[in-house]
Amino acid sequence: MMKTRLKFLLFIGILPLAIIVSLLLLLRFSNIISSFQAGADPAAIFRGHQLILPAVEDAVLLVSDLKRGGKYPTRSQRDELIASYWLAWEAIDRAYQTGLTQDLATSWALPALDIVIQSLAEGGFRTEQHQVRLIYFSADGTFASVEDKFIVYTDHYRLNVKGDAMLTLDDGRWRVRYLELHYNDLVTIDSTVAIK
Amino acid sequence: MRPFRLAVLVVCLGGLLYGGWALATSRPLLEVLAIDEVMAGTDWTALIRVRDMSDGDTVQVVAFHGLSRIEETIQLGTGGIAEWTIAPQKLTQSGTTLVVFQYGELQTRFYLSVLAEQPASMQAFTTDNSIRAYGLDQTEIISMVADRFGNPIKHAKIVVELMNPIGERQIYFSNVSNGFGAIAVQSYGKPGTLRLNVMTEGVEQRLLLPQHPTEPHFITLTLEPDCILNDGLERIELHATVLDLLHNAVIDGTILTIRWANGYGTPLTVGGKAVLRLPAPQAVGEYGYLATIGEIQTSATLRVADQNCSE
Repeated sequence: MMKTRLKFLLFIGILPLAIIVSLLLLLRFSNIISSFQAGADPAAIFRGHQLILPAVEDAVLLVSDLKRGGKYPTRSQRDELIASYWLAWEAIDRAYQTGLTQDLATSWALPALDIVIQSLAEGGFRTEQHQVRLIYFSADGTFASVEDKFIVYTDHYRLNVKGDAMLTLDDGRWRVRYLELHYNDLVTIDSTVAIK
Repeated sequence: MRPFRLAVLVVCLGGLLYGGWALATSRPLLEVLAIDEVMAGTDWTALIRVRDMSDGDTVQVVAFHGLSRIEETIQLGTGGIAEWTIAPQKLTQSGTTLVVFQYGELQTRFYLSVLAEQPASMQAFTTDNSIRAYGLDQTEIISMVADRFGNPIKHAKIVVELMNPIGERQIYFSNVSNGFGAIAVQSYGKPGTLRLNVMTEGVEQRLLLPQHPTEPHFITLTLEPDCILNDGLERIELHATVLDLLHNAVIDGTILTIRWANGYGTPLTVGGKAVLRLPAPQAVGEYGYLATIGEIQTSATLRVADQNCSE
């Protein structure tokens, strides 16, 4: 009788813990699923990268500015495009920090990929406040041209940059294929606050 | 002292005083002389001059070039002049390169435009895998044009030569702007394959675009034979022909439904034709067969005779 009661008490005690652990696992799993659906870096699951999407202040896509025609992307197409574009810049930052370039191919395609890899040896930088405008989005949803105004931080400078990028949807993922940067303003800053 | 000598003395003293003041208060001046536009891959030289520099001084130079950064310390020569050259094949990314020259507190910024070379590669594709023939549909050809370094070409002409399945040609013109061109091309002629040749300044790419028939518009149904004896030894064949708007065969695999009194069959078309083979009814009489596809339909009648179909 005592043994049965002890088992029952143990069951009652462990049950809430098991429920909480199951809920946490379920939440984590649903976060992973939703992150991938929104365009998170597939490499992240193997390399332990943070599954994050751009905040509004980091990346803004103004779809009303289709300058060259094409069609308006749907909400999900827009989200995937902007997340992939933002993660492409994140991938550069991560590659500078880790020295690993394998993940770059997830977000960059030739010939831009070669340029990114070659540039890695020439100093790191961090980009912020990407203000992205969609210039063109193809009818089949596999090509997009964007204009991006953002800030580049190096160890001594803060630069305002305008970028023109072309992205293609390859194997279900947006990749930056062509990139052209125009540096148009510079502020010299204290090196101690430049790179966080 | 004569007034003239006095005046000369005053002028000389004034000049000396001004010179001394100017020397005491003068600040170095950092000047940069260079061309502000180069082609990608070429070298670039800047002439740096620092007025009133101290001997052995240096100028820090940093160039923000695409995703790259070029940094160097330049030792000034006699008269505060130095020459700084970026070697060929270093400035390979088109865009606006910012070069910052720093001498102590002085800073001079130089904006250098790096232009893409002539087109060396093109990636073109159509935004549809196939379109309806007869000029009823159009697709867009997206062409991304780049130089040998992978820089998008700012401006270029694009010519699209289109040849339909019977060799008739059409030409389309468009422009590349900011690295890509988007040009709408209409289907041309009968179903088959459109041959597209996308060309720009020495670079070309060939594309093939199937143009398919329209949806079914005409259907005919014949029985082979249309009369049969009631001994149960024969089979009948129902031959259906399905044509599109301009009487060309519809897409292979189009499904049509053939119904009769107590059953139905769904043959697929090949070359616009579909065949259904059935056992013949054995009771004397007339039997109707109805072929439908979408909203169009047609029918045929089979006669089952007792002894002789010609009676």
